[in-house]
Amino acid sequence: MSSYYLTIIGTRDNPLYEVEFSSFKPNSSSTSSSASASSIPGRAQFAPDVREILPFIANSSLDIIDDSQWSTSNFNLGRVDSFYGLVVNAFITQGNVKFVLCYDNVGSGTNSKYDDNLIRQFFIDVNDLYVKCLLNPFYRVNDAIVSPEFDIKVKLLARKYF
Amino acid sequence: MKTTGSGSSVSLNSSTANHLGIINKNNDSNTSKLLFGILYSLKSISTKLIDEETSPISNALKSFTLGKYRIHYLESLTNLKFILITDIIIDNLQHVLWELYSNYYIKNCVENSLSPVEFKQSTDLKEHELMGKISNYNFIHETDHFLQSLSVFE
Amino acid sequence: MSKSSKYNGDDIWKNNVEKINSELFTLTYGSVVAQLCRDFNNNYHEVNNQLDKMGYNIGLRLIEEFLAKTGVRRCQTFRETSEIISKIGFKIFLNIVPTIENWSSDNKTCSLILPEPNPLTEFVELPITTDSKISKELWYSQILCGVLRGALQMVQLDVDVNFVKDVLRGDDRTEIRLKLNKVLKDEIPAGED
Repeated sequence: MSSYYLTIIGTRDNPLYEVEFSSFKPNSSSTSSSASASSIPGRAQFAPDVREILPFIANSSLDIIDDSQWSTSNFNLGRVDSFYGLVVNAFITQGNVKFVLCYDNVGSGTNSKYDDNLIRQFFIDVNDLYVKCLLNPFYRVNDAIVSPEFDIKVKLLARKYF
Repeated sequence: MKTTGSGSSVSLNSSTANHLGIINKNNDSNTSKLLFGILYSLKSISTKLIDEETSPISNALKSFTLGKYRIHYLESLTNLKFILITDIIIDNLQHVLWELYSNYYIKNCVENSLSPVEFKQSTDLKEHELMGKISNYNFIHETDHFLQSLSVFE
Repeated sequence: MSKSSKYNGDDIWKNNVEKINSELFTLTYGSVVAQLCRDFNNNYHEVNNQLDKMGYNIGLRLIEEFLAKTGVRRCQTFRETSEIISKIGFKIFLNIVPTIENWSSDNKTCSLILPEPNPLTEFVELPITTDSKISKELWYSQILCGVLRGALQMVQLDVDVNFVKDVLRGDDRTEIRLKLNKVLKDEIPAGED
């Protein structure tokens, strides 16, 4: 069962939103913690020391994102970085806001192509939500996104795709 | 022609054929005020003659005739009055007045955000202040053009 | 039946009204409200006031266009007026038909219930702040009240219009209260007696 960390980073490299979650699909291949009570569906299971540095990992990938955005015409930049078993995927919006998704690659390393595709879809849907949020006249670019509705919708998307 | 909210008017003298009529000339003259008074009285008579609540047909004043002239009259629900004075041979000009209201007035005054639509002779307005009258060039010009293009205009 | 059935709001909406992109409309209005909130330093009472005034000035003009497009005749009762407002007025200008309910016994006060989605508030969420001032004080769609007040005044109806509920604030529905104060007389202008 993979854990995910999604963060949205504004045009001034300021964090706008972050969320942690894990795969909702029961994963039979991960035997280590399957029976334990701690594996509530959807709860991220990063080790505490990893969890602490997640924002740093996301931020450290920003330079790579900045570079790689010019090498492709896609908004989805795909897998841009990895860090001790954590994989970093990124997406950049038309307005230069970045979505960064870090996840541990437990038990799903075999079909990473499939994963990347899911993540791409996920990013596209998150982008739709983000655009809706931008359309709110009270929201200004680079404000933190605190709307509970946005939060819930992102989590629903996470559930749908992962 | 005279349009009046309660004080504004555009007068076009139909005898001056090929150039613009004289605008707002008679606005403050006593004749205008008398005309207004007549229309006002006729209007109140017309409402008293029928019971408006039961009658399906409106009893609104449309025109009245003098020995030499006919006065055509249309009032919008917003109390804007359109008055056209013609020779007696001209019969019904209601559609013309409606056209002036629903097309020319709307297009040039209402939809022109800078042109006033409230013609109150309120006390806060100084005498002859612009606000009380239509001085909109397009309205005057197009109205004039429209009236001159009518078959009754000769 | 009712007077409004004589005039067909649907037909006028389809054939005789210029339409614009609704997102452009919604966003334009949204920026106006948001800008007012900034300009008046989140004094939402003042923002409501300003929106109401803007609406009033729109109403003064809109009514003429409304009358010219529809050819509506004078209503005999306030009930008729409310029907016309809902089934023709709102229909041709916003393409929604609010329901009318909650009549007072003297037939002078009623409620317009705006159907969701309210075209003015699509995409809008009130910002989340530490105090709930904005959701207690701001009537986001207040401009509608001004429009109604202005338009009705032009047809000699002195009416109080205000919001009592708004879905944006978390209420169950969006409700505008209309109260007819009096029918203004067609008076002889001062100085022309």
